[in-house]
Amino acid sequence: MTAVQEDRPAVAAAKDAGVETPFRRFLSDYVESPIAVIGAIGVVLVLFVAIIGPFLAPTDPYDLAQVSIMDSRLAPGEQMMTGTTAILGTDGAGRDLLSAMIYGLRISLGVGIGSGVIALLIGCTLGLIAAYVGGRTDAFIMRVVDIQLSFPAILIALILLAVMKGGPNEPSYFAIFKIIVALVVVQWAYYARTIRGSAMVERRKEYVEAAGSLALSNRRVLFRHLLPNCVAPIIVVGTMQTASAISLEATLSFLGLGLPQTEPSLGKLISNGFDYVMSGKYWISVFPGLALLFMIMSINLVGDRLRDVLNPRLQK
Amino acid sequence: MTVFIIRRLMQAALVVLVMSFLVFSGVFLVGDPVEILVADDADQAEREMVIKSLGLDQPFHIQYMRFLTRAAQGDLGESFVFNEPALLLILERLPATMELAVAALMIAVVFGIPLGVWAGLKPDAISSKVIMSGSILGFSLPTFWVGIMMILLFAVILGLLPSTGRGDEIHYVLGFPTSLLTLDGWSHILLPATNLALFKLSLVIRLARAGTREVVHQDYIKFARAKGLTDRRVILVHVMKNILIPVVTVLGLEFGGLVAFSVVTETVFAWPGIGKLLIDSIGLLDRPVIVAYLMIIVLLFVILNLLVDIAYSLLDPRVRLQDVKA
Repeated sequence: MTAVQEDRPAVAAAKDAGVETPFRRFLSDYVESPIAVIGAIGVVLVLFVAIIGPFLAPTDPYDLAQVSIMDSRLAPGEQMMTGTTAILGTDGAGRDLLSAMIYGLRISLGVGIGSGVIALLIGCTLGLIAAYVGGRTDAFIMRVVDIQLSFPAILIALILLAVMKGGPNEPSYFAIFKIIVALVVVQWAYYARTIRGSAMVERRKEYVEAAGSLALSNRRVLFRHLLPNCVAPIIVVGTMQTASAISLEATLSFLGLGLPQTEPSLGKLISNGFDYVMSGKYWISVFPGLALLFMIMSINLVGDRLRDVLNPRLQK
Repeated sequence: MTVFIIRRLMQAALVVLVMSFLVFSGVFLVGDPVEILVADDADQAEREMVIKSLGLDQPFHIQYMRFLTRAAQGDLGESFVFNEPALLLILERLPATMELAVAALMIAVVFGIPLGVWAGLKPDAISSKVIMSGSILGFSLPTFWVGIMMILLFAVILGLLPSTGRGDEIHYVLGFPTSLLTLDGWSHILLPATNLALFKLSLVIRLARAGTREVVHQDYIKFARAKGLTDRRVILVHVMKNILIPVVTVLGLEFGGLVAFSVVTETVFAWPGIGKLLIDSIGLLDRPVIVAYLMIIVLLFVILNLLVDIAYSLLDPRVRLQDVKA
C-alpha cells in the first residue's frame, strides 16, 4: 500500500509525458482482474473509514457522557436515549455498535499495519544480512527462521502471550505492547525468508559487484542497491501478512489474550457479542465480524493479484 | 542417514530445551499466581504459607532446575487450581482434542479432494470458479467468528444441533474415551469439527486442484485414455493416486496446526479439550498447567516435524546431502 502512495507523483509525471512507466504497466496489468479491482476499492474504503473514523461515527463510544447502560443491547434501528438512531443496534455496554465498529476497525488495522511494519523492518534487515554476509551468520539466522516457521503462527502467539500474561491490574498500554510484540515475532520470519531468497539471487548480479568495486560501504550496498531490487516479493508478502496479522489479533482478542477491554478491536467486539448470541441478540457479533471479513478479504484479494502481477515469471 | 537423524534429534532436543527455558522464565517473570490464589483479605502469614507450599520462595535457577529434573521424570508440576498433576489434567483432555482434530481432518479430506479434483479437471467451469472463490473465502474467514455464526444459525435460530460440549455419553474404546459411539456424540462434534476443518478444507481444495491440473497433462494419463479406460477409472485410479502424495504429506504437517488451532474452536464450542484447558488456565494464571501444555505441544510439534523430515530424507536423497554440507 505504501508503494502505491509513493508512486503517485510518478503517475502524474507519466501522464504528462505520455510514456509507459513500469508503474503504468503494473496498473494496467492489475486492472485486468475485476475482482482484484473490487478488492482494491475495498482496501481504499477501509483505509478511508479508518483515517476519518471519528468524523464518520454517529457517536463517540468512549465518551462516557454519551453512553448509557439503559441503551444496552438495542436492536438495529432502535433509538438511543440521546435521540440518535442506532443503525446497527448497541452492544452490551450501551455503545452504538456502528461507532464502536468504526473505532474498532481503526484499532484492528492500526495494530495489524503497525506490527507488520516493525516485523518488516526487522525481518528485512536480518534477511538481507543473512544473504549478504553468508556463512555462519546466514546459517544461524535461517535455522532460527526454519524452526520458527515449523510452528503455526497462532501457537507462537499463544506461547508468547501465555507466558507474558499479567495480572488483572495490568495497564492497557502494556497489553497493546504485548500483542504487538507477539505479532512482530510471528511475522518477522516470513519477511526474513522472503527477502533472503530474492537477495541471494540479486547479489550475484553485476550491479552489486560494481557497487562493491566502487568501494561503497556494506551498508550502502545493502540498503541502497540490494534492497530496492528485492521490493516486489516483499510487497506481496506484506499484504498477505497484514491480513493474517489482523485475523490473528482478532482471534487472540477473542480468546482474551489480545487487546484490553478499554481498546476494543473488532475481535473484542465479536467476543463481547458472543455472550449474547444464545439469547438471539445476533447483531453484536455479526456486524463487527462482517467488517472484519470485508477487511481481510479485500486485502487478500489485492495480495493475490499482486502476486500474479509482480511475479517476473508470469510477466508477458 | 544415521548422521542426519542424530543431527535432527539433537536439534529437536535443543529446541525443546530452549523452549522450556523461554516458557518457564517467561511464566516465572511475569505473572504472579499469589495474587490470584490468595484471598484479598489474607494476612501475611497465610500468604507466606501458600508461597512456601508452592515453592515460589526459591530463586529462579533453583525453581527452573527443579522443574527440569521433574519434567525429565514426567512430572510437570501440580496445578495450583485443581490440585492435580498438570500432566494428568492434560492427558485427561487430550483424547477430546484428538477426536476433534481427526474429525476435522476427515472432513477436510472427504470434501476437499473431490472438490479440488473437480476444479482441476474443469478449470473454466462456473462451478470450479465458485469452488475456488469459496476457498479464498475459507482462508479469509476468521475461525472463531464462523464458529459463532454456526452456533447462531444451527443452534439458536434453527435449533438443530447442540452448541456446547461433547455430549454426556462417553464410552471407552481400547482405553480411549470417545463420544462418537452415539448419535448424540456425532451431533455434538459436527459443528466444532466443521468449524476447525474450514481452513484446511480450503488448503486441500487448492492442493488437489493444483495437483490435478499438473497430472492430467502427463503422458500416462493420455496413455490411460488412449487405452480406452473410462473417465471414471482414469480419474479415480490414475489421477487420484498421483495427487495424493503431496496432499498426504502436507496434511501430516498440518495435523499439528489443527491441534494448535483447536484452542479457538474449543473455546467457542466449550469443547472439553486441552485448548480450552489452556485458555482457562491462562485466565486463572495456573502456571504449572500453562507450562505443561506448552511443553507437551512443543514436544508434539518437534516429533511431528522430525518424522516428516526423516520421511522426506528417505524419499529425497537431495535433502540429506544438503544438510550434511550446511
